[in-house]
Amino acid sequence: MQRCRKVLFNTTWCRFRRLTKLSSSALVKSSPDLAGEPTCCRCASTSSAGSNPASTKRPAETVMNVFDRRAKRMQRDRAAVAEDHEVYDYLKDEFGYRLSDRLCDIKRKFSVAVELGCGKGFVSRNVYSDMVDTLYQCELSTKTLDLAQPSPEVPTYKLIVDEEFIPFKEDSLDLVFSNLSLHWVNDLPSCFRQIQRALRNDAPLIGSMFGGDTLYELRVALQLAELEREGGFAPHISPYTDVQDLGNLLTRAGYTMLTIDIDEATINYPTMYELMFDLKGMGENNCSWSRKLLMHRDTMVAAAAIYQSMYGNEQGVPATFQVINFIGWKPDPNQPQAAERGSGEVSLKDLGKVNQLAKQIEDERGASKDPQQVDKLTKDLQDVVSKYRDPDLSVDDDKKK
Amino acid sequence: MKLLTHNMLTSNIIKGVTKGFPLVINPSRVEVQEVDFNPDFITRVLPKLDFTALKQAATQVGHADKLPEALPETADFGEDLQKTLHHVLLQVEVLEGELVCPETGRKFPISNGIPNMLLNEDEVS
Repeated sequence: MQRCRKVLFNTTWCRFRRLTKLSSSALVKSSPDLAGEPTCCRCASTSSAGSNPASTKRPAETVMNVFDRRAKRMQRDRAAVAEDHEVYDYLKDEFGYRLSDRLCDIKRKFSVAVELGCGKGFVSRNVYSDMVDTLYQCELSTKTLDLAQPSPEVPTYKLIVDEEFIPFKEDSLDLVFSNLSLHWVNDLPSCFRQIQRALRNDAPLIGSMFGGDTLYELRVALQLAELEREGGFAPHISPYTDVQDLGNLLTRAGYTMLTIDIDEATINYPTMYELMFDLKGMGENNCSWSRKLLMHRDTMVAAAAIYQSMYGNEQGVPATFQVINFIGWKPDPNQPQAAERGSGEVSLKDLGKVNQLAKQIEDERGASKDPQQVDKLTKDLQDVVSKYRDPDLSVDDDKKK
Repeated sequence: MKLLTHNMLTSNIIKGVTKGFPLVINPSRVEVQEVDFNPDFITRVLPKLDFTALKQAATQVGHADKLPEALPETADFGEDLQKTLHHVLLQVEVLEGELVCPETGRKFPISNGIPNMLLNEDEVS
């Protein structure tokens, strides 16, 4: 079998490092640092990928330009124009519904809300008039926005907006939410900062985005296949943000009271090809500047075989989608702050007394049936309990004794 | 694009723009659509609006006839004023036209009622 051997760079030490990493953990964590750089080793990329600008180490604050936003826009347009575009909506629809559920958890009616990167309005279709007064749907691609479903009850207005350049003025928005679109943003810190500037005080940013281990099976299969067939590999799966990194990013952008959690969805496909087809149908194809423009047939066959053998199950092959859900609030003086150090008045040691007093009351009731004693013990118990319920009503320790 | 939307948009995403608000509207096609009158909504939304920007925008689309020069000081707006505001904010729609940045003159097209706020690479800050 003729193996197409590209010109090999001196890949010895880094290739071996990559290989050992692959074999030991079976998932290459390409979760980036704060700047979002993909961790593909520069010398391990094939020559057709050319010089890989995104793989050089950069300091954390530099603006990364990993994704070609114009290409992403075209890909989304193409996905929207397809006749069967609705077939591929299942993933975003499900997570859009979950995000709208989280909106309901906040017992507040938001005056002006913005859905950033709305796609076909996956969250908007579940937003009702008791949650929001006015809704703006912002999306990069015109054709996808044309298909976007407005909210069934709330007046919805559409805008073509790039997530990296938010055109809303300061202190104008009461809520910003984003469903599964921030993972294509180049400069996530700047995006979060702009959103924070546009939000009013005490207004939340609620979002979900693909995170750390999404599609790791596909990534590993493609890397191993390319390594075997072509002697090197280029990144095919975009770099994702880790949970800790996201927390840091949000804090540094000026959000407080963060809550971040991970949801995982494993979807089974017959083979790797169906998965890749679906990703394209969703508009989630690769748009990084360093993407290879063609993939060899034998590489794909090898990748499908590796995927099946490493991760296959009875239903086919699984694909993991890890979605990080986060909520961050713009600070406001009215928000509950942490109590001052040294302001505690009740000791946790007293907690044991509750059980002890309750037990004593039971014993008294059972044994002597002395009402005065029972009353005294009940009062003691109530004192301790009330102290815990309302710290301002602290009872003098001496009186209790 | 309704004038309510216009009141929130700024162009200070462009490199070199400090405020970028309010954007100048050059309408080519304006339509009026009937929208249900909701006085509560108007009362709620009013404090958050920039009235001078609204007046300027309404003048540019040609529907500023009944708008007062400034909002009355008291929070209690009469029904007439509310109806005028409702008309200007929610019923007037710019379907085709342009939004122009006041500082750089960059034009954002509005097509089919949807303003396109995407930037070219050289304007990116």
